[in-house]
Amino acid sequence: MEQDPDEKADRIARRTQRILWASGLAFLVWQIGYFALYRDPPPTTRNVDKVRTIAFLAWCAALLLLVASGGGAFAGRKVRALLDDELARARRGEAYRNGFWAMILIAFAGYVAAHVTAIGALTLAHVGLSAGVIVAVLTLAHSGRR
Amino acid sequence: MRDGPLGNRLREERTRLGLTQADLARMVGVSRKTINTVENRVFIPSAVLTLRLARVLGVRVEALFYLTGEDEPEAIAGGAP
Repeated sequence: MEQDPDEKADRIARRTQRILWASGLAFLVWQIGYFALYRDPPPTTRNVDKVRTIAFLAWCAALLLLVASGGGAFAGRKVRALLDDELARARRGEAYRNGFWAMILIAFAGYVAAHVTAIGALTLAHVGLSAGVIVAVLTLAHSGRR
Repeated sequence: MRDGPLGNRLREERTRLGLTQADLARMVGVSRKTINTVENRVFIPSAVLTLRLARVLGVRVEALFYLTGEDEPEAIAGGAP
């Protein structure tokens, strides 16, 4: 028997919120660990570093897809419409806005800091991307509780 | 997305008709969560959604939504949309 689209959308929304919390916090912990271990990013000539870089980009992309789709990317049309109603769009807009400001603040701080200390472009891009993704994901996870 | 200056009598009108949040959500084409957040004044709906809600509940928009501290909903309640 096919599940009611409303119930299915409700279930997907609850599951997505749990995933957003868990994956957002896990990503945050990973990034803290990354910068605790490597003050400067390691050279990307070793295979293990290439794997780490690919994993970082893949996780960023997956989290951004989750924010953009609300978790219903592979659901039916009706369910996708319910997961993209005006409340969902408003919450997503808030997440994008906060992510944008996080990236701007990192860029601003990095630009100032680069005048007094050496900061690699890779480090700055990594921190900026991480901050934007983490703030957007956690904002959306938090707004789902209201 | 915040508790703004827009009050509403959505819960009263919905329960008057014996509808659940899920029923009303289905009738206007949004998620149950959206109805819940509008009722609890967490989310300010768009003009399109307020018009749809009023039409489905059979009341005027002004009877359903009001500016807090200004309009008394009882004074303008009733009437067809």
